[in-house]
Amino acid sequence: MKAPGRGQWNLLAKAMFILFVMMPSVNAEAQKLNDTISMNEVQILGKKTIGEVGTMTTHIDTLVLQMLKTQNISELLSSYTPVFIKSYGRGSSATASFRGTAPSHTQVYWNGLKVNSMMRGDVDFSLYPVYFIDDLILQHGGSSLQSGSGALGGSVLINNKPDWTDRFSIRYVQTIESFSTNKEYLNLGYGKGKVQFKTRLFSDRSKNDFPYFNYGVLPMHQDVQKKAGYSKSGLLQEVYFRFKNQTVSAKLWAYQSNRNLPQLMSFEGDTRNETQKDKNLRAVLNWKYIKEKSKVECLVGLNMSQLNYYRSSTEADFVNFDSRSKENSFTNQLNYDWNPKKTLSFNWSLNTSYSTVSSFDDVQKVGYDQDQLTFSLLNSTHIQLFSDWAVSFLFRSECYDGRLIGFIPSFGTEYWLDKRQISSLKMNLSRNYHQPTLNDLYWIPGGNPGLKPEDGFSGDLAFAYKQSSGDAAFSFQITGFASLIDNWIEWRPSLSGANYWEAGNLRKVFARGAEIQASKQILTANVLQFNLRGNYSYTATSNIDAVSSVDESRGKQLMYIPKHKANLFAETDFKGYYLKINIPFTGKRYITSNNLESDYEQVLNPYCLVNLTMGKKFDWNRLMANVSLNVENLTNEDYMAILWRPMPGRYYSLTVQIQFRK
Amino acid sequence: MKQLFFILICTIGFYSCSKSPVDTVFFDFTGNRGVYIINEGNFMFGNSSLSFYDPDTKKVVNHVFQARNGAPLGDVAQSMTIYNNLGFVAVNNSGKIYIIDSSTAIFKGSITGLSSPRYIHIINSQKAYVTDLFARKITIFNPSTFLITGDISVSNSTSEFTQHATEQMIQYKNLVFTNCWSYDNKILVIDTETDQLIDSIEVFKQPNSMVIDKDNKIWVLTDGGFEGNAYGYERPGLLKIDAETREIERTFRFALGEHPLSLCLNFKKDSLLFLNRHVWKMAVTDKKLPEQPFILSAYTNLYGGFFSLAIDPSNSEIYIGDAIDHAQNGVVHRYDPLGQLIDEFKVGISPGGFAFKTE
Repeated sequence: MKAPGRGQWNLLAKAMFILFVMMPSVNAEAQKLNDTISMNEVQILGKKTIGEVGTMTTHIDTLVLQMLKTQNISELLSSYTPVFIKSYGRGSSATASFRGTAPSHTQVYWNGLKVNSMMRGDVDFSLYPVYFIDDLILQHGGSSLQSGSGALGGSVLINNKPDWTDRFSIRYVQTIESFSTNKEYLNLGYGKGKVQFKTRLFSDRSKNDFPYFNYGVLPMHQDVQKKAGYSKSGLLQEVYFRFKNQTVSAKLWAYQSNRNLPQLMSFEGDTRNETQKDKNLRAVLNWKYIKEKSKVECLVGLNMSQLNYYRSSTEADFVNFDSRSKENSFTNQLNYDWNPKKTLSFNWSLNTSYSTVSSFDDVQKVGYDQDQLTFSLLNSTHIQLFSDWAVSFLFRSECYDGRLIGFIPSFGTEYWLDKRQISSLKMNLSRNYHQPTLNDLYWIPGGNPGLKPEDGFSGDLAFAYKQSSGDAAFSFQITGFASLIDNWIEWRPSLSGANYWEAGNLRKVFARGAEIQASKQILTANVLQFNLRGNYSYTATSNIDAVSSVDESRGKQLMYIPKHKANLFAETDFKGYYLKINIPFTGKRYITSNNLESDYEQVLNPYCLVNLTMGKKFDWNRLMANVSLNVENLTNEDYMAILWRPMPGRYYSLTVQIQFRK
Repeated sequence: MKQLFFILICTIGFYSCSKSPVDTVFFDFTGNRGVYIINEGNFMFGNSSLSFYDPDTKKVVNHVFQARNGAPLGDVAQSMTIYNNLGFVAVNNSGKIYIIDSSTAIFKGSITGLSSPRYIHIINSQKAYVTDLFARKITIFNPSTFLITGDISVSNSTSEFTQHATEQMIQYKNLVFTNCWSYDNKILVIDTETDQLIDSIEVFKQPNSMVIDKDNKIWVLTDGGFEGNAYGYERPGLLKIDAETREIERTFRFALGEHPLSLCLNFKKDSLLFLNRHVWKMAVTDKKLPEQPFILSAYTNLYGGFFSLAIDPSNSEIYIGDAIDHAQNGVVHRYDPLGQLIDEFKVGISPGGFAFKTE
């Protein structure tokens, strides 16, 4: 593998040039406003805007959610946000790195229920179809403490919402894609008066046998990805009731996935059967009582998941691994919001969670059973001190396994630079911590019950600008962040020479960087709509506590985390026809802790993909249809996201959507 | 529309990502004494590599396989055996053996379709054995044609654990002895003329390495498993077995929680060396384990330290692999037979094995 050349930097420079030079040049004399973003923000929050002051959040546009309805959240986050997704390939598991932190430092909540694995700490985003999501919010850095602790990088909030205008609707989507891929989605909605039902079903199957050039073996040759097929299916059922001051909702998410795990490009062994089966059942019951100045909310949640990892050498008829893990969590949460004045808001929240995990390998005959009880108390205050200045302060107190983390504070402030609140400065300072995962503590062998929680301090400073006039809207935000995480947990072979690895509080990690987001929308002559959106993130994450004299990892970028990441998205609509282009860029990634790079010291080269969608919408009053053709990796870029794992070249999909709404 | 057109043009202009091929590097180690260092790399990273070190000039060349052949070695290179100017490299998790010319590192061929190859033992120019962690068989191949010619079943259906996973091999007369490390406590005995499993010797739990000394005594080091292991957890041990009678003559025990590994012999085959955090040395005639380390590891941290050990069969010089954090280039320390440091050099990721080139 070669080191990245000058051309790669030019690539990034060009992307940035287009993003930022183009923005102000877009025609601002257009006539009619079509501001999807600001409309959505009001709609999504559904609560006091005062509660948002000083927080760094990103709302994913519903336009993007609709466009990517046949994809997974991993693809959405990777292509439209600063979050780096480490994906093992098409259909394979994908974890998130938020602001240069580890996958377990991204906390994910589905309708308020935490869905991170208790055992591994992470979330496999490839198991979350965008079709099952109505609203996606990112909370960056310390702003995540509002939802819960442990998100040293940030949080992802996945929400479902009722559509009270829906009396009866049915929507069917089918996608036929290269590599024998077939995706089907069905949505049924029914509502009357105070009741609303919504049912969603999906199925996604693929042989995933894409061709690639295998330069991982000798002699090199044209190859086809083998044993990479997958099938996924799921159900989401929602029921909503509303009364005078109350709403009650129940949501159920059932999901299963069967995946073959392909081997590395260099594999030439006997036929190996390696699979992963996931099953999930999540349910949330929510009750809200809303008065003019206060709100009480009660949430009861259940999260059950199973994972079966299996590997066998088929020719030798030898099962190497057959491990099953079960995780069950039961969560209760009580929130009280008090809003005595428009400029003052208080929020208290108490969360208790009881989890049990059980893991056992039938071949190795090892495993563990553990349970954990966690309490978390949140106190938060938001005050609008002056018309142009607001502050927020919150702190959490948590207790797990008898260990008390008494004070986890976050302080935020926002100052508007003008009376119309077009531009503002935001700042957030916080302390956060992340408790070790149950595998870190109890895995046999190598788990370490004496592990300390990872302890982080972080700060953000942001400048935001948002303006809409006539039919043009423009928004821009630049954020600088820094965080110091001590007692960072890693698995390493122990000094004792044991043949297994052990978990330890081994690193002190300093992560800093910047995120830039910008968007522009215009509508010309009432028929041509144009959207342009982009973001760029710079993340330097380094170990600053390398203790050994020969250890050269001190100050070096952590493995697999790119310093540079950027996305560009442009869309144009004209009389029902649309064309969308998405260009995600991922910078160079090191795969050694000392960042060595030479002709043969491998790094993963930067890559830029181009994804193109074109289609036509049909509207026959109550019946609507949408046909689109999608080309992924238009330029047939040969790249690796993970070392020696092939990625597909150019491929196509055809999506047909039919919708009836009464 | 103008903007859209501009964007499309710019987008097409993005694609200037050119790839410049890396030139092939030619090596000639002919006539040089030297040692190949087998850098395991990380499991499922496919980043194993070979380094070549010339002890006379103290020069090291890293990534010799990829530099010469333009392709990676594979996932977790486990061991290398040099025979007849050929290097046979067992690439464990790639399920294959890559064969190189030991003087030029040029790729000569491969043996594929294996399960999890560990070690290679050449019996003669027509026959070689490969042990395997996940196959319950020893594969037989021809080291001249690189073709698989058969296998020896080593399946033990009487155990609740999947046995036998075979590891290192040593030869005494026409018999090959192999230790079964994973969830096992056996040394298997194979007749190389009939390719039959003829006997087994029960030792302590999890024998990880073995050697045969000048008096034809087989020494076996066991690691005793780990805490919570369903197969068992006991004190590690060292056993002395007579190769002729296959009787255990002497046993030694380490403390529970210690992790001895990498049992080696010196050039005269009268002293044993092994790792147990430090390097330890004892004569084959000693009646107890040494009390003082031979070479002290300076590591006091939570990770790092001595990872692998090998002795140059021509002069008893000691080579120690240090993997540091297993995520960066490791270091090899070279000591003289008296334990004095001669040289230190950087190699690949996780230096786990050595193969001495004596021809």
